Amino acid sequence: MSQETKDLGVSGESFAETYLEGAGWRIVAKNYRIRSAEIDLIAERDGLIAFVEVKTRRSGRYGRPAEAVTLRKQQKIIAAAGMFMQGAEYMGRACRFDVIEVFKSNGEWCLNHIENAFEVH
Amino acid sequence: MFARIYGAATLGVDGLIISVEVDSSNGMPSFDIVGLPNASVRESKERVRTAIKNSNMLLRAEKITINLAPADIKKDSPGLDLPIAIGLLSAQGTIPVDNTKGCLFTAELSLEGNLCGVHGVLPMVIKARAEGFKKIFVARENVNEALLVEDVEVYAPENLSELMMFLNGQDVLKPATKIDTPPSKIIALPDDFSDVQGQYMAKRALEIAAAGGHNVLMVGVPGSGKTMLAQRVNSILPELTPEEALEVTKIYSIEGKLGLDGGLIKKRPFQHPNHDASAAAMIGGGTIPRPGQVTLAHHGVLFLDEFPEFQKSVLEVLREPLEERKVTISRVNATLTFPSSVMLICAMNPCPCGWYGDPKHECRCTPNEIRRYTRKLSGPLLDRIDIHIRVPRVEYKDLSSKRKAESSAVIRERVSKARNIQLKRLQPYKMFCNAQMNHALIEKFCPLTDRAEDLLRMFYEKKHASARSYDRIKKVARTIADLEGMDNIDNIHIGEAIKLRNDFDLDML
Repeated sequence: MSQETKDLGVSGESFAETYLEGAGWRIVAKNYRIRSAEIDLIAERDGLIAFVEVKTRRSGRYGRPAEAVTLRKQQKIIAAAGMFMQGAEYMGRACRFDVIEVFKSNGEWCLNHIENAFEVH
Repeated sequence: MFARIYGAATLGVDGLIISVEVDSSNGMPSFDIVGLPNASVRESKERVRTAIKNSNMLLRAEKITINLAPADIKKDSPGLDLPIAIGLLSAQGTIPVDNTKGCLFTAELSLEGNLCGVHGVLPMVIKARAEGFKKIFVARENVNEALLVEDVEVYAPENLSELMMFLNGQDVLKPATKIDTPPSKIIALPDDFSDVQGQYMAKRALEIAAAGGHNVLMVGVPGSGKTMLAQRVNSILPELTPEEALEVTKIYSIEGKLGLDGGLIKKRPFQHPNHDASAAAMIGGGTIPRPGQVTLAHHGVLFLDEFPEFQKSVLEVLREPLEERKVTISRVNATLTFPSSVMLICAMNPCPCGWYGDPKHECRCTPNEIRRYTRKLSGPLLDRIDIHIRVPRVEYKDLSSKRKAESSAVIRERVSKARNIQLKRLQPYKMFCNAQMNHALIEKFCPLTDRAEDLLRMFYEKKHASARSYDRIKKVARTIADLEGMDNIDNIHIGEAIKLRNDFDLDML
């Protein structure tokens, strides 16, 4: 992965973070990592925990960003979320899995928040 | 929260009440259905979720578990969509749990949220009434069928949101009434016995067979009218009695073969399987056994044309249903018993070329070919057929005769009269025609005059007949006497019965 692509991902994530905070969410964790599984953002609002995967793209050439959250990726997120929910303070809380699509073209940012994008299978 | 809603499936020819337990609570969002759902029930997950969304209701992302009890029986009804949806909505608090007491739901959901009809509603509702349910919710297509059962309220909401409003007490829903369907525009040409010219012997034999519910084998040259005659037997049989009609309608309901109006079937079924039918198609089969042709012909006629062309194994499986009037199918997953009280009518040519025994045509078959042709029909099977008749070529003077043959209505009247006598006599034994009598009842109800006794003894000793054929002859003679309204069986009745049994002796070949 080129440095440019990495930077794009990081700036996409911070853009999503700003958006979530603007929407009343409190960011609980960033880049929460358990072994090889990672969750980009974990946010909380009104007692509800959202595990958010952020996908950033510069063009639609390779499909929609959300399509890149494959079954395998979902399973990793689910596994990490399972570990996170084991924490005493979060046990038994309502939770859901979201995907935030971020587009950057010609220096302009835009975003699409998919709530409850997938569930445990 | 937890909710329990009742739905129904079918098992064999009966309904089965399924309790749908739904639990929805915090945790990793998931949606699981347990309790042996088959593919169509597992897929209901997607239908239900979309239907709820499209009915402008919200399902929270929670850990959802659905259990279908009893858990050890495979559920295969898409009609579980509706109870699952209602269960989900009550578990999430959208519908008060108390409002669904005594209710049974059975309908498929479209993605739009509309209720769609399912198979087997009649047995489900019968079962539901037996278990004390008061309100039944079905799709509009199933209303007439559900209304066949008395003492239950049937509701037919158009879609999920209408039903929701009702269950929440925001709206009223009137109990459904019978929906009239416009009569079909297709004019069916009625099959009538007057269409068949000549063949007096065969007609007489079929009249006796119809009167007593006896099985018939017709042997005749090609084109002599065997098929035509068999197809007209239904027109001389009396209408189904109300109890019979309910049994037949249940079977057709499960198979999804009820007509548009979904009412009670009054006409006797006539099943005419092609001769390439498999054993499973004939008596029923499948991992969860489904009824076969003998069950679909219950209380009606099973007509096997080109009898020896059927596979031998297919013919042999008929032995049990013919004798027991029910058939038990055993598979790993389930053992089910289906009713199969049929009148069997078989038609065949005497030999492969078809002309053996005809006075005018030459038969081109070798004795070996003929033997091979008839060998398929085993003794035990033929023994179960009371009446064996020959159907010869029709003479030109009969064919061109302007005189119309006797109509079915006239014959049916005589048949009905004879059947009523039998019904009265056999009612205490839960039987309705002579063919069903067992040995003890034959002894009891077939008093022979001395002359008749002599004749039967002579035949028995001379022909070295089997004990079963002795019983069968008495049974047929009983029917002939009933047609005449006689209490005792006289020698003319025995004589005709013997003649009918041996009109065409396959051993001659």
